[in-house]
Amino acid sequence: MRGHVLRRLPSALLILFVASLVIFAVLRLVPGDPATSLAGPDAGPETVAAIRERLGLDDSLPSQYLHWIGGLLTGDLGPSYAIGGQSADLISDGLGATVELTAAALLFVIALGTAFGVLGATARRGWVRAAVRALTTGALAVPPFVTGVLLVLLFAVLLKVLPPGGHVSLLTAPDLAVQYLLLPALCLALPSAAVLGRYLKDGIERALAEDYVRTATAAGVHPRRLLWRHALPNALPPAVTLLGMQTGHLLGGAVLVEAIFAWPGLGQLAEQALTRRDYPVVQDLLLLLVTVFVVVQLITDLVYAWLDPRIRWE
Amino acid sequence: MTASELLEVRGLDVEFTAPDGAAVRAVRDVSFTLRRGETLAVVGESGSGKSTTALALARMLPGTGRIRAGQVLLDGQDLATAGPQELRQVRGARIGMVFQDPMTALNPVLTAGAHLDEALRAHGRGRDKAARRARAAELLDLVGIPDAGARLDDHPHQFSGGQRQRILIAMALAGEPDVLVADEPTTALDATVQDQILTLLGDLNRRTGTALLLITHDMGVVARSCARVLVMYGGTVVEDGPTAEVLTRPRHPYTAGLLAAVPRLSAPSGTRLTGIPGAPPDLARLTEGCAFAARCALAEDRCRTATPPLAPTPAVPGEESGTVRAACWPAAERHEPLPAAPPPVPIDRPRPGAVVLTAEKLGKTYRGRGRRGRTVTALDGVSLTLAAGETLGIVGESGSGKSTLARVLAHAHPSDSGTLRLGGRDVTRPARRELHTVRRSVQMVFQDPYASLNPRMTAGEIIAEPLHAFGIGDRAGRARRVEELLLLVGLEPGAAHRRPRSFSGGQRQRIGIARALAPEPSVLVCDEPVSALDVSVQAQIVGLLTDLQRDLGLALIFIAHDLAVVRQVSHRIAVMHRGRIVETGTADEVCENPADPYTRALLAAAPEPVPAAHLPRPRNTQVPA
Repeated sequence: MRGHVLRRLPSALLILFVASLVIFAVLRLVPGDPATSLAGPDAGPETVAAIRERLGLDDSLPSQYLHWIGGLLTGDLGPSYAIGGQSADLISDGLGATVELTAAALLFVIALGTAFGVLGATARRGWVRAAVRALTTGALAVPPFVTGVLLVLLFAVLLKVLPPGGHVSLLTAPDLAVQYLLLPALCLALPSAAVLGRYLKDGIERALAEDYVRTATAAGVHPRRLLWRHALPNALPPAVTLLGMQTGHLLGGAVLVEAIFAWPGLGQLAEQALTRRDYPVVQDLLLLLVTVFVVVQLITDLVYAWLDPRIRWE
Repeated sequence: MTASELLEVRGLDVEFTAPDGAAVRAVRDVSFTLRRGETLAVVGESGSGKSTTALALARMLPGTGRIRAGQVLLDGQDLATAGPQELRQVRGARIGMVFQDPMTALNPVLTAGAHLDEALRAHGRGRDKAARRARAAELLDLVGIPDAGARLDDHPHQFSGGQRQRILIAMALAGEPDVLVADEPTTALDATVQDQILTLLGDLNRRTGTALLLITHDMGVVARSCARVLVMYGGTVVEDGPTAEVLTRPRHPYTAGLLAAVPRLSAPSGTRLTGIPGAPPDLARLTEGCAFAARCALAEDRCRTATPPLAPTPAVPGEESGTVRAACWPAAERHEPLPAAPPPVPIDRPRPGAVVLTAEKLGKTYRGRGRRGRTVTALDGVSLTLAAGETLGIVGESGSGKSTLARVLAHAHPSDSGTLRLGGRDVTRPARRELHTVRRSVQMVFQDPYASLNPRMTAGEIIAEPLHAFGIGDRAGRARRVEELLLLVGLEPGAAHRRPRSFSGGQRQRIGIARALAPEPSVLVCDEPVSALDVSVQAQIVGLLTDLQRDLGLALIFIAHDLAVVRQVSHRIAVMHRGRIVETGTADEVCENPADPYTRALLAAAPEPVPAAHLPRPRNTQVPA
């Protein structure tokens, strides 16, 4: 296992390097300039030029890139152009909230996805299977900003059981924090849970038709056990790969969901930084996203091998 | 029902619903009994209803299958109407089952021990986990897995095919059932492994008194392992009786036809197999009368209008034991055996001409994935020659390198070493242009007629594909050629517009052959061309290949695991083992005076459809390690 991680390291680093180049280049290709947006609409050209010089935007692009990467390697994420303070501080402020949100959403994805998959494949009553199908289709088709509003309307406005938005840290008041967390996490999780559920349903149905299930049936094994011990473990490995890819969706989706529920996470920071062309903050955020994604892929591989004894990373 | 009768099936009817809504009567009015400790074989070709009958016993019918009528009495308890709870108590504990494909019948993520533990637990065998583990090791030992205790923690992929089938048998025995139902337990296995598994099943039957119900398509397996046999055709039982009697003096014309179609090792090279004309009936469109009437040479008018009952047949001279029942009108009145199958007919085949293909010291090694990947030597210095109009048979077990050799000869893969000559030219590593002409003159026929034809193309498009690929002819010319080829392989020209789905297995293989013949090759490499076909159809395809060779002067490479077929069609035989040719010679010589111990083992393991009492001296040979 350690060997596998080590072997994957060079390609992971290469991905990060290429990603940093792309991020850097794309930001500069996007129309707009941090200096003009900082200076405001009424500023004269000399003010803009002064800001440009202060921010180091006069330097050549390669030198700007090296400056950024050099900073990262020494642990200095650079100053924020527009928001104020250090990029590192801004990111660490929002990181906790976003991790809370995506982790909670991931739990929802796993729990709901498994429920959708198992019920969709094995529910004896036809209407249950039909309901699961309708629910997953709906969850996939309706975008988070609509589900978010619907969830708020139902639970916060009509039923008044959950707060419509805001954030309390899990560390300070866990019981209250969970109440604030439920709606945004559910909203974020639904589309991915639907995809996972569909995928698992197919996997379970396929596995249940396999010869080894027939063998177990012939041995007198209980149908419940056929599902949990035979079909599900065989349906899981490909679903784990899918889950790994969905984690990227969750991180991306968090930006939108944080905006709907006034969640003070990285999403809000990203939105602010992007509209104000705050290059260092956006660059750092995007690279962080890519890093998380690469690590998740690696974990996915390891989980896959753990689930399927035929695969051993030597 | 007497005390010794364990299982009694009465008037079993099983129906499936086809996708178009039509009722398919897979099993019709099947009745039989199985006594304690007895061995009974159910033999038939695909679609005969034999596997459906086996699955129906434990109510394990797949998909839309349901028991429409009849009873399955196990010690008086009717399983046809039992509830799920009762069925679970019967499955594994009273009826143990073993299925065909050991490669897919074990859950890849569970260990051998976990499989056995589960089977034991399902019926409360063993006090605790430790006791079950000890019993699991005992069971693995019983079925002949060496070092059983240590192997409990291995996963299925760490066992060979034969060992997996042993594990499945151990699982079936875990609940100490009264009857073991084995559905084609050795069909996916090599002959020498099949031999071991059949021996094991026989031993278990004798030692534990477990009755054995063996489902098979192979008359040789029947002869080898069961005292009584039930012959099924078109979803119904056409004949039953003692194996020794049925195999030597069949009463039903279908049984006789099937026996005549089985290739026998004793038949010399250059003889023609006798197939049964026509194809099995469509179970969705059954009419009154005997299902076999359309293919039967002895059919009378009443055979087509009234279904004959399964009734005892009059004794015939030479009858030794028990009575034979047959579902045949004429058989009920006949007092002499059916005329014996005609002796193998020698075919006039021209003498082989000039050498077209020469291989010298071909080598091919596959490397496993990763830096420490295991390397497999698939071909290790293989040399052979092939002349125009000659058939070279290549036999060997799985993993012996047969298929690799076929692909190297047909230039699907390059070899790693050695030289390959085609008509005198060195074509080992042809240039791109030359590769084109080489591929045109060496064509392949594949094993699986279901998987090797694209289901979205029509037969005509499939056959015309090589013509397109090699740029032969214009549109009209190609259409004419397709028509010609269809006639050549015995299909109607109208078949060009139908898709593979609407053809039977044998017809699909004809399409595969027509496709291979399209670019007018000089060499045809047939990789197990008849292994997926029923024996009665197999004879037709083998006959077709022989005729085509005679008419077109083709050089044939005929790869198969069945020595008897290979002997009949081949001029010469090469025996492969672990990537090497261990023996080569004329077909008769290799089969009658094998020099290599491996050839002897293969010959000994080949099951012949002859009852044990009629077999010549037993050949005691071991597979060389």
